[in-house]
Amino acid sequence: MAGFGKLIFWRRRERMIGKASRSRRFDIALENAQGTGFLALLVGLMCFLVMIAVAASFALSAMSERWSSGLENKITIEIPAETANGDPRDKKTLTALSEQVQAMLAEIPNIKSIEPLSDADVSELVKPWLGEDLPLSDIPLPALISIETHNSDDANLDSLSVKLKNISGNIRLDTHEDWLLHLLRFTKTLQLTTFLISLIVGITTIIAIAGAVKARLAVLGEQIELLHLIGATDRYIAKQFQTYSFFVSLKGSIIGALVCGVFLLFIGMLFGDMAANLLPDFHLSFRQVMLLCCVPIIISFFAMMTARHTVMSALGKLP
Amino acid sequence: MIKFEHIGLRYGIGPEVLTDINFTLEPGSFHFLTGQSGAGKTSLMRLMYLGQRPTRGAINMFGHAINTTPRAALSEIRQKIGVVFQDFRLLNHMSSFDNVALPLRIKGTPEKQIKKDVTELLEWVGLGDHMDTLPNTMSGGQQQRVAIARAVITRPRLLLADEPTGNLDDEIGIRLLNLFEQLNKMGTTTVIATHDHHLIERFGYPRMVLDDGSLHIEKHGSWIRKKLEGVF
Ligand SMILES: Nc1ncnc2c1ncn2[C@@H]1O[C@H](COP(=O)(O)OP(=O)(O)OP(=O)(O)O)[C@@H](O)[C@H]1O
Ligand SMILES: [Mg+2]
Repeated sequence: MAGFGKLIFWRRRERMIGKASRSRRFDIALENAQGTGFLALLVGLMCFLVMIAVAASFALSAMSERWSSGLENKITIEIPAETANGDPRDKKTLTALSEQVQAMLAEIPNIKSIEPLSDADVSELVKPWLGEDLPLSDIPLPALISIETHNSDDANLDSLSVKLKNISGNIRLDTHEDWLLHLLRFTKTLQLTTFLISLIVGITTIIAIAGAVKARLAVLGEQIELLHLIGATDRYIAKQFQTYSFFVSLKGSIIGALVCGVFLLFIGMLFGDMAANLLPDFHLSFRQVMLLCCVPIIISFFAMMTARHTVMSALGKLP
Repeated sequence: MIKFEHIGLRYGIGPEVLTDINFTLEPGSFHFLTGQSGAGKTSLMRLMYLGQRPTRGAINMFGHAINTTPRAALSEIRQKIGVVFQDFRLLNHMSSFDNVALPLRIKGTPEKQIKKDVTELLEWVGLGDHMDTLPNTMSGGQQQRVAIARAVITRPRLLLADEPTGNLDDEIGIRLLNLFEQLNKMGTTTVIATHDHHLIERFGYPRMVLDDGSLHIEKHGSWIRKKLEGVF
């Protein structure tokens, strides 16, 4: 029985030799050309890198958004536990000053909310710096008032600090601006870096694809010339290369995207818990996931246009 | 219809292969192109199918002055020309069917029509059993027939065949020349380069003779010439 099956197999193979498969995709022998797998692998790697960079950029913007969200209109007013001369203020004086400030603030229409922090709140804030065990009641704590404004431009802030100066010389306004600006500048720099990385990777991909297409053009020159001679337009010939480059790149970049997805999930699992306290959650929004999914298509599209441009300029040299 | 004026051609810095070629081909004419090996038959054909620009002179094809025709429009002119190349130039990665279908696909003919026309023609040239065969597994004569089928499938306005019967036995050579004749009767201007005096005598069409870089066209074919000689 087995021998018989083998015989049929051989007969079929014999018939297949010298026969073309019925599925013809290209007039030029693009698929048979060497290096197709290499090109797909290259594009896959590029896609992986770009997607990582884009995901990192998303995480960074989520981070800076979280840090800055609402902060720009939040101001803390600090009434120090000592006077400008260094004399301590007792609890009563502090409370009186705080109430005086609150009364003043209540008159200003620009102030949206006023929230004096209780001693417990203040203790909670300073705990990380002073340690758990210290008897906090012994330490002179400042009075803090957290306020939110409708508008915190310079004119508003200036008039507010003048009014505070009138109550007491050393009351401080903390607008969070300085350290926030630093942080935002830092994340912007990181984002710019990821953008530059994506750009360089993108340019490298384009150069690599153009090189691969040029190699194909050289190898398949005779077939291309034939198509040209029997009346194929440059667009007709370029279309074959375009389609080929698009699908090879799509194949490569989808594999790259899948690997990237697994990688991101893995990162999320590894660092998710650790980072949760420090950083905002790394969850990508639906829109961001969609954008990430577009990366392979965008890369493939660029590959297609690169192939088109390369082929068209090479064909211009034929008579 | 086709007009060559003061055409000269040289390859690179070599000597002029063609010097001062002048001729006009009327629509529907049939000529044999002869000349010794190396006389420049293939070179002249290359100029006619726009595979090469002349070094000097003016070519006019179907009313288009080639020198001033934009590149994009040349493809359209080429689609009206069927060429049987001396070395066939079949695409070895696709079946003979697909090779013959290629000019139709380039023109954008519907697949259904392609299937019908190509099958019919391949059967006509005796390759009905070899539609799926790859050219490089076929004999020289079979490949030649595929090449001829590819050249005539679009019913071109101009047919250029470079030694189309070189690898064929007499019977099938005559059969294919009959095919060319039929196309010619439907209006295809035909030029066939050949060494085969036998064939030229048998069909009796006028000759274009290439000699020493210049071209001489006979007014009449051998039959009429003989008749004229007989009468006078
Ligand atoms: N691509 C080329 N580059 C340089 N020289 C060429 C080229 N093609 C042809 N030649 C030269 O031009 C001359 C004419 O060649 P061509 O092929 O036109 O002759 P032919 O009449 O077709 O010959 P045959 O009957 O052998 O086919 C020859 O001397 C040949 O060496
Ligand atoms: Mg020749």
